[in-house]
Amino acid sequence: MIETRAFERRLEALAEIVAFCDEALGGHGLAAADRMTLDFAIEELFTNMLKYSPAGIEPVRITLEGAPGDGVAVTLVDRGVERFDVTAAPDADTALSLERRQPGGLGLHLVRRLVGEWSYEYRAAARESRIRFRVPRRSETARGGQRC
Amino acid sequence: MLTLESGADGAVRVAGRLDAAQAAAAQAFLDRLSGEVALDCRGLDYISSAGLGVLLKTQKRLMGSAGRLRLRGLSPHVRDIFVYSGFDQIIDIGAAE
Repeated sequence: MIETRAFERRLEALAEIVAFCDEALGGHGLAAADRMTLDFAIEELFTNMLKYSPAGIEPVRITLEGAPGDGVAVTLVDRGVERFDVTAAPDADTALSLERRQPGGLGLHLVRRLVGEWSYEYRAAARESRIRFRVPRRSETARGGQRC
Repeated sequence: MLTLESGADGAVRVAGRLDAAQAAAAQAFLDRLSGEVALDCRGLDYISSAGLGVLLKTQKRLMGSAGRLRLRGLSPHVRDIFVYSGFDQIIDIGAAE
């Protein structure tokens, strides 16, 4: 399975992205926890693109690849933007007290924790950011509620 | 799609997806509540960092006036997000079922 679709740069596109994933992954047999990871990572990366590259010149393209029973590889492509390597974003301090906690900063930290692997590539000629990550099958990981 | 509604038992039932597109509506609903607020999350399918931000802001506001949030019925995969983010240490999410 390889499916690609383009999404307008607006928050309302999140529902369309979920519907796209539902359709593309219909027969994939992805476990609920793995689907949570996939949706979470796509939302965090997509909204990060909206927040930090609001003037991108084209819709964001999302590609899903995978075989039934296997993990899913996801690629997000954003053109007409400046370089921003999300994989280099600093970790959040998840041990802070309620008083010291502020909203924000958790998204990329959690993506790093949840996905099996991720990479960032910037193609300067096209001013294109490409983020790729893979959601492994739950059985390939040993998460089980560990703190990070 | 996200729904929040106050039940007859006083708990607020949360159902659907608490994502970035729904965060503002969720915040507006929770901003109207005070005191000890119980959220029945059995119908909550998904939460993102934007949803966590809504709960953080609400917990800070409630605790400023001797109230607090209490979440129950989290699914295992939603609970994972709370644990990985350390939110299980600042919001009462109950024991795993």
